[in-house]
Amino acid sequence: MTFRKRQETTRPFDAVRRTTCGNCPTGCGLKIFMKAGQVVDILGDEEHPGNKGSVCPKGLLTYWHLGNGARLTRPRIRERLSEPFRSVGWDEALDFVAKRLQGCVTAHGRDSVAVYGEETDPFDYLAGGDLFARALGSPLAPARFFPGPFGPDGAIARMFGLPAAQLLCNSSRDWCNSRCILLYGGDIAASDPLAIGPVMDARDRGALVLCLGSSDTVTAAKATMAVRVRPGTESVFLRGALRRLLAAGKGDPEFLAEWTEDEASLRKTVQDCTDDSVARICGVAADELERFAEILGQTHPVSVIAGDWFSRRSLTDVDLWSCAALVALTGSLGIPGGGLNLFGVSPFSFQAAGGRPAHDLSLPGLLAGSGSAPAAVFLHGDPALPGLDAAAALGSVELAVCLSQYPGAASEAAHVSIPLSGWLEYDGLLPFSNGRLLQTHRKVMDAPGECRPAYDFWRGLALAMGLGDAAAWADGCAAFCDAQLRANPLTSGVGLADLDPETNIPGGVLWPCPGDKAPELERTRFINAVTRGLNILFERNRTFPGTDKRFPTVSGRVSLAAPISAQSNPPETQERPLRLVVRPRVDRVAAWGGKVADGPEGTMDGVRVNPRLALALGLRGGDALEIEAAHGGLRLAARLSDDVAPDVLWVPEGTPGAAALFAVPERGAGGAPFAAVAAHKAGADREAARRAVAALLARNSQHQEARS
Amino acid sequence: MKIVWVSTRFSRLEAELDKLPEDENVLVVDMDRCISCGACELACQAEHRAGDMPPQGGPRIFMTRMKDGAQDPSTVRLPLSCRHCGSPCEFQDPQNFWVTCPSGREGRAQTCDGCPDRLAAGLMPACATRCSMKCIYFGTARDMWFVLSEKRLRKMGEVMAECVEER
Repeated sequence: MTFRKRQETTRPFDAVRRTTCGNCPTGCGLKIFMKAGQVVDILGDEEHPGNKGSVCPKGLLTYWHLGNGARLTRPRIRERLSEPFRSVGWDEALDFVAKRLQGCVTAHGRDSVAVYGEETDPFDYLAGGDLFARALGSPLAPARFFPGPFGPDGAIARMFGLPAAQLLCNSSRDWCNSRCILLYGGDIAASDPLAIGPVMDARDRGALVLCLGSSDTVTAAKATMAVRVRPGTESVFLRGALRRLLAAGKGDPEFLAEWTEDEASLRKTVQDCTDDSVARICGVAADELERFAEILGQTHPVSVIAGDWFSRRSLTDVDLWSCAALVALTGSLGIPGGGLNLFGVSPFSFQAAGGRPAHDLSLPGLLAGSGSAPAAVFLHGDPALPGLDAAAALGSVELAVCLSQYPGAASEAAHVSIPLSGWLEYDGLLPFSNGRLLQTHRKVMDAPGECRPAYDFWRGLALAMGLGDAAAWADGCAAFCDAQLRANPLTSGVGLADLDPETNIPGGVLWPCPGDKAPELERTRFINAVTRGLNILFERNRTFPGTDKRFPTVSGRVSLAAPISAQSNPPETQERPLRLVVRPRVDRVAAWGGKVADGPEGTMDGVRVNPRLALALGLRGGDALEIEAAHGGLRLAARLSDDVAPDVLWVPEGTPGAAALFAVPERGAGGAPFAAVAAHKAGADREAARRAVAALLARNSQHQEARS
Repeated sequence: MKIVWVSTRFSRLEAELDKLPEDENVLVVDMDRCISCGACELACQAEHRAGDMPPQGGPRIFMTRMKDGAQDPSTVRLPLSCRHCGSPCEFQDPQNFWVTCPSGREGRAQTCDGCPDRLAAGLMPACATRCSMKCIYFGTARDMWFVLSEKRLRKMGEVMAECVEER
């Protein structure tokens, strides 16, 4: 007997609804099996081009997320943080916030109200919050807190005329045409499991997969060649590879001559990254760089996927510039199988609010700074605040409002906690995508208690404060999302109804889709499209929407001019020679029923230590390790693991106190990729530990030299 | 039912299919694609213990971590499902890759039941259906032989390429 791999349930059902998973930017199609209005099973949609029927653990967890008793179901307010919350109705909570907010504005001015957002927050929270900040006259809108390198002042915007937050050159359906895929930083197998599917497809078709990162990850295990460098030195290694490619005369001289400028800046910037300096700074053997560059030089086209859903926050201008320079150098732009592909891209940048630059602030920076700290803060979910303890940081503001589905560190440290609907409980837009897709999520069931979409909160608050009349605020989240699509020049050709997977081709529409013509299925030799819209950006003989040029820069060419920060290499500190990195446990699903799906070590608290470092420090597994950073310390149980290099300490995201060891970021939501720390066994001599670590690292570099 | 892991990195494995009766049911896991996401674990819980909240303590297929030291230092994680008792890891042999329970212990409730409802409906078991990387296959040994043919061809191509290089 042959069995079929059909996404079907064996439980009785009377209806199947189709929607899009809203858990992460991958945007997988889902089939929701219903009986008498209740969800009986959730499976993947085989007809969706992104996941082709598969769903990752995050999507599967949605099943338990429904009806989870841990969810917040009523608004909660309190006058002072020392008091317990009291549950109130939605109207009373809105009146409370409106009154307190009016007080803040009167006492401290409109500049004192911050609407904080991260790029992966729900669209209606960000767009509604942006609209609310404008209506209030506050310059602190969500877009100002997005990671700086992804904004209009970042390196990519100067190179391509398009910010990195919008740059995904070739959609995931095209990755299988690549001959070489470089996965730069991050662990997409852990954070975006369905997005690594097309990469594995490409590998199965013979593409070489390179992985450049700072730890041994599952992604690295799947790569043809994986290079483990010191945290924060990935770009040095890549610049070393670029230098080798240029020295060997590799690359695409015709593309460079016709479509790029400032090649001299590229050559000048990479000339310092010699084999010796790369080996010393990155802690790798010189032959690794040689082999890496050889693979890049022999394959064409090359596509680069930089960062994952989490690590993109700590990518710098230099990281992005190095990746883009590689793609341009090899002439892999505008052709099948090429491109610089960044995850979580969106056509919505919410920029030019009051003419102020976007992506230029950090909330931890504002809260930790003296004098200019905001008086009122709006937050979504449980944001990571590098350099700060969430509870202590929010304790200093006069009004903290947290919108979330579950209780978290932020909601429990706030004055007001607003319960939100999940993405299965209202109609909304999913514009942040790993495949440049615009999609919708549909309402398939009622929200529990008094949960509502974030947009309802912004609208209700604006009307309660008298900011604009009811006509200015669309009635309902769906109408609001539709209006936002129509108003954006990159998406004006579609409305929310065009994206409904129940009445259209599943998979939404690939943007840009400007209003001049309806998006069509793309059929080329390489792509037999199953989604509407443009798979490849910057194709020859095609102008970028809204411009008359192939590349939307002033000159119409890609600028290879290096950012100023590319001149300096990461500082090396003798006092704190170790590097502390924070990596996610697959998903921040503590709120999702306590299940963490990263295998046995995912649930393992503590700090991961290389056995060689542990030997030098006299540590055994389970011993307490004292970690000291420039402005704070932490004591954690040591877990031995050779997944990390000897000079790296690895803690899971969400470890209490770990965020406070990092430097407060100057702009954007992102923080530094690592914190320089020293460590010793609890109770042992600090100075002896310092000497032992120095000796270990010296031995390590001698070992690398011997290998090369 | 048997479980077989395959990878182009392993030197001998597929021959094991030869030893089975043609119509024996086999669960094949393609380790070259498996990213150890754990969707198979959750799929098992969704199938058998959907009412549990929060979802824990129920899968009959487990991601088990081991070091494949002979190949390279990278991590290898296997979806393991013992067909005999609740503690497959004690008995798994990394050189064999077959899960066998020598003692057939009693008192274990978490054994794989092969999703009889799904098989009766002509569908693959929950873990094979919901695998996020589509790397778990289920069928008779004869069918699995065909499923693996592409992988065998690729391996053969790599071997031939190496021969050409050496020449």
